[in-house]
Amino acid sequence: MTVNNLVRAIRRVAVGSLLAAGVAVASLQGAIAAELKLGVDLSLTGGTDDFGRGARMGIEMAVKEYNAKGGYKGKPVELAIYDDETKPAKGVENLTRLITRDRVFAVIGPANSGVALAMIDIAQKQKMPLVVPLPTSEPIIGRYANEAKHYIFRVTLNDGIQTQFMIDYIKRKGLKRIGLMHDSTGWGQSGRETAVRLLKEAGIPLVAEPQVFDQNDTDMTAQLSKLRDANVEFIVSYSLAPAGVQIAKSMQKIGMKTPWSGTWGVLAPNFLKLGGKEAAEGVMGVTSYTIDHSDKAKAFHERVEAAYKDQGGDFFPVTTAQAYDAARLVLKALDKVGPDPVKVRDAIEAIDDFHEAVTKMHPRPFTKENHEALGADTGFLAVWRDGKVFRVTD
Amino acid sequence: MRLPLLAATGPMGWLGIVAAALTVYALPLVLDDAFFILVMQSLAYLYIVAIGIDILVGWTGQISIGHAGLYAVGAYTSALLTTKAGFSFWASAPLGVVAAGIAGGLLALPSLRAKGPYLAMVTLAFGFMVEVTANRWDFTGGPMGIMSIPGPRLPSGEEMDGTEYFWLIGGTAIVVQVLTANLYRSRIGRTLFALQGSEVAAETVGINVYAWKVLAFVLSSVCAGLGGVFFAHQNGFINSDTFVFGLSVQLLTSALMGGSGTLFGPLVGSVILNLLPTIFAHLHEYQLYIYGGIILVTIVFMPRGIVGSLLQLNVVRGLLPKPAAIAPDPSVIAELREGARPTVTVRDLSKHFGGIRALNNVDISIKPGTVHGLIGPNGSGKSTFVNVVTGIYKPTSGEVEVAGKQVGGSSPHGMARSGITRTFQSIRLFGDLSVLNNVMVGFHLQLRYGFLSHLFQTAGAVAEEERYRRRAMALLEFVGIADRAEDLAQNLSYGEQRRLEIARGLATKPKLLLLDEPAAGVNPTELHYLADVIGRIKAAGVTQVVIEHHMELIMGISDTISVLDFGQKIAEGTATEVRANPKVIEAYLGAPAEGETHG
Amino acid sequence: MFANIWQAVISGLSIGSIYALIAQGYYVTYITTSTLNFGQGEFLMIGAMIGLTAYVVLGVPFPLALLIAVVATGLMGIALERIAIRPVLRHVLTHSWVLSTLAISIILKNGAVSLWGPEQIRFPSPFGEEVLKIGNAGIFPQELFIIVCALGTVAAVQLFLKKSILGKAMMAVAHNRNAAAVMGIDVKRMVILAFMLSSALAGLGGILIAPVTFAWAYMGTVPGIKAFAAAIFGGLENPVGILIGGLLIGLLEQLFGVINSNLKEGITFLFILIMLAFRPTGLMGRRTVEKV
Repeated sequence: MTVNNLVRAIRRVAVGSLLAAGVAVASLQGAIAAELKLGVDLSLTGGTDDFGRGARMGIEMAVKEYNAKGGYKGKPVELAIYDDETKPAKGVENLTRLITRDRVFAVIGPANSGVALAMIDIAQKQKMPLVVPLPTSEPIIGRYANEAKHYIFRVTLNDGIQTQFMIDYIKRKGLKRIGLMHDSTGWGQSGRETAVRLLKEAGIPLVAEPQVFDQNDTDMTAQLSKLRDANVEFIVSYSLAPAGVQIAKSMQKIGMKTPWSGTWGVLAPNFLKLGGKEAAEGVMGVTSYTIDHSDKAKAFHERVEAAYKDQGGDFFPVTTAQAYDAARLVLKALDKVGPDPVKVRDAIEAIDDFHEAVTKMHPRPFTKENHEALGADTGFLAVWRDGKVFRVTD
Repeated sequence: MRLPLLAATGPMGWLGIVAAALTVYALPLVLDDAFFILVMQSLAYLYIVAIGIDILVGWTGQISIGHAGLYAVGAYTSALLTTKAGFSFWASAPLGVVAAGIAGGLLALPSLRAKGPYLAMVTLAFGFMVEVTANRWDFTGGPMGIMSIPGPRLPSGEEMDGTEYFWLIGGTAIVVQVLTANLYRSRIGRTLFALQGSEVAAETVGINVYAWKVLAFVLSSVCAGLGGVFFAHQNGFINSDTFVFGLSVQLLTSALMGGSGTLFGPLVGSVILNLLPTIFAHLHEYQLYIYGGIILVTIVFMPRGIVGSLLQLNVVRGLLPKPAAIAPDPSVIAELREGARPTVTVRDLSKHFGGIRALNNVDISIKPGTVHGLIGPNGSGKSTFVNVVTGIYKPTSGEVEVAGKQVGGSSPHGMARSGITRTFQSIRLFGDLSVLNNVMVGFHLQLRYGFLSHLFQTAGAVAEEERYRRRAMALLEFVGIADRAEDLAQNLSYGEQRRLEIARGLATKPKLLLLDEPAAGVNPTELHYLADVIGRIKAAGVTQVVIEHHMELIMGISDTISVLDFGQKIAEGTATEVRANPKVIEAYLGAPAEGETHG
Repeated sequence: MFANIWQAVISGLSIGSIYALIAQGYYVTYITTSTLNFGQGEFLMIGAMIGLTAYVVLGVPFPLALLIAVVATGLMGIALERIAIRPVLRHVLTHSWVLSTLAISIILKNGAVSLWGPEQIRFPSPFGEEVLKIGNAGIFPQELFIIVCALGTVAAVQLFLKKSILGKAMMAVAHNRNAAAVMGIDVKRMVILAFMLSSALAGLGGILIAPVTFAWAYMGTVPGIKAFAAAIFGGLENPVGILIGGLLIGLLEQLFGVINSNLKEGITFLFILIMLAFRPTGLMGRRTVEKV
């Protein structure tokens, strides 16, 4: 008996020391915290990692330019970047760390809707402004929209707006039989709810069950066959580029020529690279940004291509541009009120002179009632033709 | 003076518990930081899960790469009950644990007969099924998950804050660790380790292997479910993205890395593995290299885990206090004579394997208190006979009777309950257990105190264990290996291991002890000792059947000898009679050639 | 309806033959060492990535790229055996190899991300993208090639094991290590050969399937696990069983996808669970009666 008990006591001490040591190491890192830290949480690994990496480039570029111009009252802004691995629990942990350890004045991120939905509770409760550059799920802004002080801001077209463009097209063309496909992620699921709701409001209900696929599925013939059986005339699809290409290829396989549209994921250059011109031909998507829609956008694109040549250049322009603008909004607010998160939130909301946007946002992107910087007037339906993206005009 | 509960926990043990409780109390007050508290909460409940996994993997030897599924069952049950049915945490948490326990029991069913990669696949499939169900089923909220999960409320009505929640989880972890330690040092842990050592041998001393495996699965899943419950209420949000294969791997690794089958392995393992990503958060590109590298290095160089490997070092072993000497209780030998020693009769027994008739209408009657030898050339059916009589095979036809009662066709543990046990031709000991504990396992059917008594370490259970340890010591003395009592069974010499098997068999208070080729591979000195032991067992009143090739031994010790050839009994009688029987000679040496006779 | 089923069958056969190919890799190492490479999926991925580099980046003709991919993964199999299998074979923990091979797979995945990035990369099929028709089901030429090549390889490996001297030596080791050693067979070398062959098969699977699935660092995990399920389904020690298992799983997924897209993912594992409850050594696995 005594054997194990002595051993137990010794071990508890040993483990306690281990724990303390580990914590000490971690806290050392906190002790070197600078005063001016901008927090970033993105998916740098996991399912939406290319979104995260694209966004990081934009944020880094914004901060570099800001510091080059003198920073905040002569002091440079530091970035505290963490990877949430596309896991909601990790995102929450990172956000908590940014708030309590790194003591940042604002947070930009995440890249993924599922992660965002978990993080907004903390951001709102802890009064930390969170500028969401990429996730499109509606409840991200919807949940706390009625609070007196709303801490979540978005710089991307949300699912509702994107789907509305598709519905406008459907109505214009007088199409009646609509099918829906979506991936099995949180974003896909949320998108499905958005689409079902909007289609019902427009009086154009679905003629088949929404078809679900895994985002890494390589054969969509089963799902597409079901839609073909229901004689759909148009398919709304919540899919990122890789799954989008597989949809296109599977349609080729079964000889299906039904027009379909995805959200902005399918207009990424990635889509063309993965599928080739033939697969992309005729595929529609929604976007608010093309690299040549304005002079500023063109100039920005060239800067990114040059600065990140070794990382593949501007491989996902819309993510980099949106994150870039998001960061610059935050930095502009910093300039106005200093590094106090609550004050920064108020300042972001009040910005009305953001003329330097590379995306299509207005000089006043937000109001008390509206925390979506990119609205219906900043986006459009586009289509792939011969390897290039064109606005849909008919 | 013994306490009614935790009766065997000495002053050092209590010191340890108090120290742990103080650590849990002080940590969040010292490191007053929301982030650290979050990390420590996770550490604490992942540790609980690791303990559970170790019970299944380290103690019972069943692999599981699907524990994320059990964790998920606990998490979702509690989350759904609080969000959709308005339960309070204090009600939903136990229900979540129960749900996980049931899931674990269900998982056990396809796992009972599966071994190795097949078992891995079962658990893997289970884990994936849970993940896919959570993802696709609207009820669980799919990948969007369940939001606004409330935390536990204090009596005042307020929700617990981070520090209080950590105290709850940490306190629970300490309780789980103490209860687990109780099980570890009791017959419960011993039985589970025996399953890992040799399922067949465990069966033959009366352990219902399937039932105990289910118990291991249930204990393991209760811990996993508890961890899942704490996880669900930690961030107010869960979704299906968490419960992926990678999590199962991480949980398994944390249990094994520290040291499977040791008391504190899971603690060391989960602390290291779960603190790692936090410490290396800035190096996220290399994180997986570090993670994979650590697993590889640990598994290859420290297969017993960190704690297990430390225990191997003589330096460390030297630090441990020596166990107290145990005074043997020889009444166990006298008790062997007790109870009616019935006649065991095998009547018209046949066993066919497809077209092969391994046993064909064999009739043997074994008189109580005798040594009955069984010989025959290779392939004559001797091993089949032993296997049928001890329940490892079911007879094709015929009967095995103990005192006139039909017992043929029972499982091995059923046969053990009827009083029939055996030793094995290729020695099957519980290698990881001490020599003394191997014999203790043999007492399985006689021990009265059950799971709950041992879980809480009642005074009665502890007293019983002590009583039987003394009897085990006496049995070890009887076979002459008492000086090796605290050594690991696998470190014994071949001859000593044989004797240990015999002691284990005697522990079951058998009505019939079958010795399957006990002289195989034994040197002449040992042989002499073996004959001596068999004689003394006979003197103690136990009936024995000895299967052997070693003619000198068999002829010397047997009262009656039966001879098998091609599955049939061809002769029976005393040693002299059998030796001269022409049929026996022919069976061994072949028919005489033309003009020759055996002389 | 029938048209959909027929399409599902055709689609299922191509992925199913990849599962069968990888499963055969599991078979080869399992019969010789009672272990298998839980990171087999990552070897599939490495084969695809090396093939990609050779074919797309370096412009090497496809047959040569295929050869390079297969040889490279085969060589990595030798390293795997040395690092993750041999040291743990005689361990107390009978399942150490599960974790050690999993650890290797984690490292390989990270290595691939470092070398090629985490995104999907296009692997143009050397046969073009014109859809062929079998009945009224469409199939890409690459998918047809997969079926022919994978099944052909499975048959070739079986012939090798049964007819060639080297193959028979391997089978001898599988049946009885000690007896084989006594007969003069170098058991260690046979084991190395088994792992080389197993990994090469996975690498071949990778370069075959990459034009269909894209080549990327995370492409291997799911096929590796599904192929494992296929091997278990048929019975790890039955070569015909694993072939049927692979094709069956490929077919099952597609067919159930036609019924309800939600079932597609989970159906494989549900089947496995139910099957293993009744036949713990696989559908056609050898029912070993434990010799006591």
